[in-house]
Amino acid sequence: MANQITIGMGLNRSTFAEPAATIRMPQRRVPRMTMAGAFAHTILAGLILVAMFGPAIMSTDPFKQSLRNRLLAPVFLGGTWTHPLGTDQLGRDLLARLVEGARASLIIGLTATLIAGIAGVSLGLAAGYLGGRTDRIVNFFADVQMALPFVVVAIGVVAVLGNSTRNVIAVLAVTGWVGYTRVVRLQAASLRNAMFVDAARAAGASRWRVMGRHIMPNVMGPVIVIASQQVAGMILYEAALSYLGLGVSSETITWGGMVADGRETLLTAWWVSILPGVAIAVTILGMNLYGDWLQEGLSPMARHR
Amino acid sequence: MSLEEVLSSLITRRSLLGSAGAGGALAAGIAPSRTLASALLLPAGQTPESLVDEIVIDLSSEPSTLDPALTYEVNGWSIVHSMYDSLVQYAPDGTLELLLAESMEFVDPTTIQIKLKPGITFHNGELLDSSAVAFSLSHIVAEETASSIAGNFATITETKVIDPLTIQLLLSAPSPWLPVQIASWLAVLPPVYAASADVSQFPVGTGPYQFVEWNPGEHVVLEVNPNYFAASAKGSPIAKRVVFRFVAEPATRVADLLAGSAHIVRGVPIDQISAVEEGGSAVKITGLSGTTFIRIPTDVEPYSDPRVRQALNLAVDIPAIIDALFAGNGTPLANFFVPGGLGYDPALAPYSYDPEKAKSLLAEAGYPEGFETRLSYASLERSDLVEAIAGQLTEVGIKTVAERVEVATFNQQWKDPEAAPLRYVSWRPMFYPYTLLNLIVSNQGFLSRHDNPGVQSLIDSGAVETDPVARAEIYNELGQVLHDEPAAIYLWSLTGFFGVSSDAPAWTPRSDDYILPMVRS
Amino acid sequence: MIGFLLNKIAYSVAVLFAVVTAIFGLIHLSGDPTAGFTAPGASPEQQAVIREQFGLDQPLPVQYLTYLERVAQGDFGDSWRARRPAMTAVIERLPATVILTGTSIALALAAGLPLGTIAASRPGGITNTLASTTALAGQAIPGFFLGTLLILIFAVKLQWLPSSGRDSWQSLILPAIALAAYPTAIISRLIRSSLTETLGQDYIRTAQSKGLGKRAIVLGHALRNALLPTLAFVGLQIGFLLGGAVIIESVFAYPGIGLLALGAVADRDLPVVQAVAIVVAVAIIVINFLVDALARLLDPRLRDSLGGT
Repeated sequence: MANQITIGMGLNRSTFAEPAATIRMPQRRVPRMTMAGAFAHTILAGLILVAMFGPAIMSTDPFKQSLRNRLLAPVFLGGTWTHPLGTDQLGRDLLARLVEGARASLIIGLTATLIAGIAGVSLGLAAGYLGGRTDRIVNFFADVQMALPFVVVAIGVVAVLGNSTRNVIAVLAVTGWVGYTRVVRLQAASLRNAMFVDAARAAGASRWRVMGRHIMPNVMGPVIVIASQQVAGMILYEAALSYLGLGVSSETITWGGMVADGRETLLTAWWVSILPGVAIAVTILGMNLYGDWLQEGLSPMARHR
Repeated sequence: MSLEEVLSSLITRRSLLGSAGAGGALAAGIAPSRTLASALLLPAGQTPESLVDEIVIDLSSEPSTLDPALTYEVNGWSIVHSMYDSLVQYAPDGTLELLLAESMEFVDPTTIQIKLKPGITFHNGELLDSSAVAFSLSHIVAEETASSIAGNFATITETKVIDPLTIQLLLSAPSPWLPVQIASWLAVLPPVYAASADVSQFPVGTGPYQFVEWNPGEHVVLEVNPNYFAASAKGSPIAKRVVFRFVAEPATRVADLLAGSAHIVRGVPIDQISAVEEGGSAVKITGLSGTTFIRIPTDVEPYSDPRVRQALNLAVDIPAIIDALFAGNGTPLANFFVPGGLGYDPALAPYSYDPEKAKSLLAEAGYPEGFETRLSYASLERSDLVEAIAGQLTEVGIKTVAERVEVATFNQQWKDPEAAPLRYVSWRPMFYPYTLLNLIVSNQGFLSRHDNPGVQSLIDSGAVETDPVARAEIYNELGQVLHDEPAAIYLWSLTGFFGVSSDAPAWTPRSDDYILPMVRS
Repeated sequence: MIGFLLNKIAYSVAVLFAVVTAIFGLIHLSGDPTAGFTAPGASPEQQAVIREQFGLDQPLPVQYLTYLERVAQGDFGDSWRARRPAMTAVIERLPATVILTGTSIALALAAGLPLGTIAASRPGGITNTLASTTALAGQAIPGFFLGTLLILIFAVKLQWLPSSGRDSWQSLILPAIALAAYPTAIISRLIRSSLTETLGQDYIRTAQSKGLGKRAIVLGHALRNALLPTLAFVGLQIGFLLGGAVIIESVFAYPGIGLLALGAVADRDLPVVQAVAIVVAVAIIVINFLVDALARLLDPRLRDSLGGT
């Protein structure tokens, strides 16, 4: 259940300070819908629908090559409706690939974020609430993680384990957990001595129950905001990995992979790279607006407007 | 002139070159070359003053060292061979031409005698003599150099200096392919200088350009060697100053060309050729000596059945790929041998594209539904080519997954039974296919998963046959067997796409794919 | 104070130790490194000679301990591929990365602060939306894409700036802009969120009652609050950029340590990878320390509530 403590992007002032007086017993709050919020929901709903049902509706096979029909232009540039968004460098239909790519891109983004989130939040809770040695150990691993160059880790993991989707998600998750840990740790630490926590402890709740039942719901605010941002970030990261040749294998279509593959034809057939790039940008726009909406809606300022 | 003819003429040319004698420093340097080919003379008017001030060349990666013994890729070779010369080099048609050597001949099957051109000096003034050749060889094979190309000279047991301009290499076994290795791998270093200096950082050679500076990551700068020996088979220098830059991203190399930041760039993507031409530059398309193939192992089912291997060959539409993905450049191959290289038989037809026949062969071999397989390729290769092939194989029932593998990992996986059985490989140069046959096709080859007794005996006898006519016969037979019982899916010969700006001086691309700032008339 | 510093240093050494171990493990896990830095056609005998030269024939724990021993004495080994000191290779390329990092952070602050301020000052207005959208754009475009676009527009079409390399200070501009896009977006969002939050707080009303103009309030008080999260983010971002803006360096052929690391990992050149990792880790530790110290300076409340490190 949401709390009244101020949340921000996870990195604003209040996460560093003790919000002593403003804590109250939690009450349910659903953020008010705004224009931007509605827009965000529309985009996200659209994306999810496309990802779930799109491939079934599309009649064109996204893997079907046709060397004679390479780099055909989309309809709005003089092409035909056989390939409404044109074809790529092997003659595969771009619209079909975009639709198919939605699924993999979103799944990769969501899964990586989920794993990073679960790991990060758990570690952050443990570190913040239990303090002491647990805190030091978690911090140590976070610091080591931050000090490791991303490129080394990515190449190392993918080189050892191969280009499967699972491994790419693993690499992405490994880079993402620290953000949650840092934020949750501070929140948990500041809540350690809150009144309702004391009450729970006095009633005989175990450490785990306190952490899971009482503290965690109160830190989920910033976590959700971070998560909504991070899904988009993961999709971008996957594009970066594809550029470096460390993305998923060609059996799986992702927008990031499409942008990376299409960069050689930027001068002559720009739609191959730019259309998936637009898809990524729209996704990120939607995620960011959603995160903004959450943040604004859950902040006590909302009551003053 | 085919390679065999050149090599045989080298063996018998003793008398012709001997008559020119070694007397008279420069004159003797010029005279034998003049008999070789008058076209190699310095064109009239190409004096150093008429050279452009500076040109910029974009390579696709930076070499980690400029020591020739530690260089094994094309970008490194481009810089190294601008500063160093070898004894012989490749002509555009793949024949060997004399460079620093006045003559190179087999005194007997296990002795090579090399006579050097007199009066050639290194950039620091040291005179080129046989001790330099001996030193250069020993530098490569020395343990502390830890060179990974030393194996190419494994049959040399001793270097015997006869006189300052004559040296003999004694071999443990007949090695008619050795001059070709020398052309690729043996750059001549100055012994006195190299004894006290770090040649990997501050190279000194006899080459047309001399080293100025190397800013790691940024560029290597060379300036013209004013004392470069005239009538060199390499041609003549084209600029007073050359800046080699390292740009990994093909789109950025094209941008450099169009923005005027570079005069010559390697590797223009075919889909950007029109953009380059519209921007006022040109793309020089050159056939390179090299082959691309997909290695098929014979030690595992279903590939042990030759019919399956034939089916694989019939399933790929090579002309369509050449048309669509190479802008129509490249020759479909019937086996490993390429035009201009030993063993190439223009009369032997490559496999046609016949998916129906492929399917029926698969059914015959017991795979009417096809089977699944993996096709791996190194991260440096073009993924669109491999995916196109994977798609075509899948259409005849061989469900193929293309796996992109990092280079270092790829190089370890040749014999790994867990790795993908099919491997997409580009191999160069292929003027003399000895190395490829030895490593990948021979059953002893340490990269090999191929065993075919019919092929093996031919490889073994071909490696030691010194008579060019007999050797040609052996290789033709070998080519036929390799075609009928394929060791690979034979694809195409390599093509280079070099971007040249409108203000670049005249420049000649090379079939060994080195970019040397030289022009041959 | 001394105790605190010694503690910090001991902790940092432990982190470095863990980094070195992780990288050692990663590179060796991917198989025999020899295949990375030798010619593809090298014979097994030749590879054996090379392996012996570099101690790769020793058991892994021995290699590991030998390396640690040498590092403790300041010897970071020679690059296996280039045969020259690994640390020299890193130090040579470091200035380029530092300059690029500094420039892009400076650009990000210079653009992000005003953007965020504008976005916060009039919620719902057109300027607000425009500013937000620009910020979002910076966040949504993949780096290599933006880089290639910048090259096409400014180097090829307009010919205002160099397309690649590091020949002059102008070569810095396009890569720095490409790198600044993402942090600009984040900084402007941080500023905006912080400002929107503080604009309603009690002490702002107090300041208002003291008669200060609205603009002074916004700039004076609210921005100061925004400093903390911005500082934290900038610290993180500097660490990330120093670790190698690999993709931008690759697109622009800009010779920083990102490309060096990329090449070294591809070559399995462990000494160079370790040297890069150590230098980057030290830089990140130092920056974290500075950020922490600055944070405590800016907000005394933190000195109490931030436990641990």
